[in-house]
Amino acid sequence: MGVRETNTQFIAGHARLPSGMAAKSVFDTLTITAEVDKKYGVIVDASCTLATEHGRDYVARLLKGHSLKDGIDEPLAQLHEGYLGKANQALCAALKDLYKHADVVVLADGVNSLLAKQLGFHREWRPDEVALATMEILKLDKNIIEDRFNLEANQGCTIEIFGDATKGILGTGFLYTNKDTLSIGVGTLLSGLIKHKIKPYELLEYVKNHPMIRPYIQGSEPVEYLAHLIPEGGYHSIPKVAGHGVLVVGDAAQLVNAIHREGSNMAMTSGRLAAETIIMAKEQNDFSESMLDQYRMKLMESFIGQDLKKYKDATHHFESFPQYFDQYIPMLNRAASQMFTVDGASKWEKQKKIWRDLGSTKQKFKLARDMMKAWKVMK
Amino acid sequence: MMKAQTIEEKQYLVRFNADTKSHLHVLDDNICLTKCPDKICTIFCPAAVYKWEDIRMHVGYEGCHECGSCRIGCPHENIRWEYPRGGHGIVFRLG
Repeated sequence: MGVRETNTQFIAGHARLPSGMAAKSVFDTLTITAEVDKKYGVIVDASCTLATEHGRDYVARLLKGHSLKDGIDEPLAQLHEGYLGKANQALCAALKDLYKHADVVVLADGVNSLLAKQLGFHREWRPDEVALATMEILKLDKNIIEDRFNLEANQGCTIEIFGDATKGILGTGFLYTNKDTLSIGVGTLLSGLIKHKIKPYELLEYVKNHPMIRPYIQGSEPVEYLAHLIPEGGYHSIPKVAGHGVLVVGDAAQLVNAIHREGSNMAMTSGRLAAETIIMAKEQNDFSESMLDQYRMKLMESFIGQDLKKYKDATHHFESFPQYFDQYIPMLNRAASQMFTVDGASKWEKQKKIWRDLGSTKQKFKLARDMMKAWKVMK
Repeated sequence: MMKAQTIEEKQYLVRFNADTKSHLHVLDDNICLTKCPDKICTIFCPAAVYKWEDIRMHVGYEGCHECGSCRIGCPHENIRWEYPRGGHGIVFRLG
């Protein structure tokens, strides 16, 4: 038996139901469905989830024969004036919802873009493609903030915390000033938290109590606690960003530069590039994937694609070789501390000791090699 | 030294408009029981939503931050994660 070619499309519209009506006991929402001729947009059949058969028939009769190409003002007016049951408003809203047809949908639903995943634009993210950041808002008097952070009125300050704050796991902490609050947070790859079995809120407490940080937040009062995933997979994790009638922007497309702590700039710019592409597509009335793929090209040519390409292997490199965070940064800290401590020893002596502390010749070569590799993934 | 704040104290600072139904579902309790000695979701969940209770995972979805970590981090892909229904879930006031 051959497949019957269909000339019609099935579409649906939904709306909330008011309380106290028959259909409410069966469904929470009211749905109108319609079978529409593909070529002429004529509604050839319609139904809805009203409880009574009479009601359903009435709505179907009213809608049949209208062409969606003429808009829905007429059937809407007929429904509004004709159907005087309690669901009048819900029916009108569902009909409007049914008519709503976008040429292009822009997926801007963030790191948890279930829609992009559902469309097969990417598989589920791996734990090393997302960072879990926790943050707290701390209330502190405006004048104290200005004094403590050396600010004039309407100035702000950000402190990026790198190294011990994340207990040797790949990640960073941050401290921002707001008008009368501070934002303090710490983020590490989810894979790091899993590997080291660390509770994110305990890591946040560790940062807050770090001797370098504690004085900045002294006397403040926590007023809100937040947790969020940041897509930090970088260049290699960018999913398919354009499909037939669909574009993906911002976090949903993994557009974050983890090394430079940038993301909102990329989200805004990708949104602009998507809009420009849609305007172009609208002019040519072509919303196919090949047309919308222009967006991907523009994205890759812009600073977004370029910057993500620059650091395409950086996060992965530092994740795979933990010695940078758990050995070299502490080493650097010790060296600096020795060099700048005034204790009677000469700088030459200090230098020699630092050099000895780097380890055996073999270890020094390894260190040099690692530095070269780090340079390569960052340059 | 500041007194370390517990997760319960942190969660107390957050406003939630909890739904009556959970948006988080452990698909198979048996997998948690027999195949997952670490029960790592009880560690990395930033809101301590997941608590192991002898033979099953208790899911305190009411305090969920909707971050998505459990969906991605569960080593057995045993958690179904959806957004709460419209209007429900976490309510940010400041951040």
